[in-house]
Amino acid sequence: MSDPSDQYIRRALKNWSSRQRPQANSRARLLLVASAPPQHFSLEDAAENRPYLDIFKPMEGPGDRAIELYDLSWLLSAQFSLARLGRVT
Amino acid sequence: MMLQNNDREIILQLKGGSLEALGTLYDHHRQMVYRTALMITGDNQAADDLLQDVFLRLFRFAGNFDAERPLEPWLYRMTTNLAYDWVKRRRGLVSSLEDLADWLISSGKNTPYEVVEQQDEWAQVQMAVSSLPLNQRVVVVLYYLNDLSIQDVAEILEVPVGTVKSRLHYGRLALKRKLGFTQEMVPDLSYERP
Repeated sequence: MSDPSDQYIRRALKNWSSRQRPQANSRARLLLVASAPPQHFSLEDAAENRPYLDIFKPMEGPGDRAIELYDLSWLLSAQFSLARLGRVT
Repeated sequence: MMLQNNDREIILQLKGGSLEALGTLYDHHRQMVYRTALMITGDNQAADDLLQDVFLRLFRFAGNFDAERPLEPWLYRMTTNLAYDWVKRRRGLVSSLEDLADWLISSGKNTPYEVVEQQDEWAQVQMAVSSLPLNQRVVVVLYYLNDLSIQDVAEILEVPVGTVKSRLHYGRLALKRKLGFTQEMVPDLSYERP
């Protein structure tokens, strides 16, 4: 699959791209961001940064929505704890 | 895969969280990542941002890497995936503006790339590549710019070899048509290696 047009396209792309360079401060910026704690640099796939409770917290009924609205996650923890105690007793 | 693993020791250091190793890998591969991203997106700022994203992800997920395997396929895959996403997002954002521009430009035939000054012959090829459908563009960039084999491109994009051949075939046809290819257009090679 190599004819003159192939060679031309390849040379043209390489020639054009050889003159393109990232910004001069790109390396320093990368190392600066990478040196910060993980929660301070956000990747687009934020799922990995999501706290454990956000993933498993069941938010269904009005009580659950109130817990979410007023940030009463301690109440959720208490619910889980009491439920466990209930099973034990 | 024909790609070689020359980064084993550095990846091992990277797994330990070494910023120096990240800097070394960045120095080794930045041009390849940047140029691939630039050729797919056609946007310098986006290519700079994607360069950062790719290496931040490399640093972040280094723990999952097998140091025995070459790094380049991962870098190519990540670069093309992020560039794909960027182009798709941007397409959604600017489509309404482009519709308006099309309406204002009554001739309606020239793309934004075609109205740019075309004094640079090499840049014309880049513009022709930028106007290819995204799937063809990615294959053309990996095959022509990065000298990857069709098999390598298929593995990186996780598509069948036949799909790569098909996209490459139609991409080449479109490029030839856009460039009005003739034999005398083949100039001397003056490629500067990274």
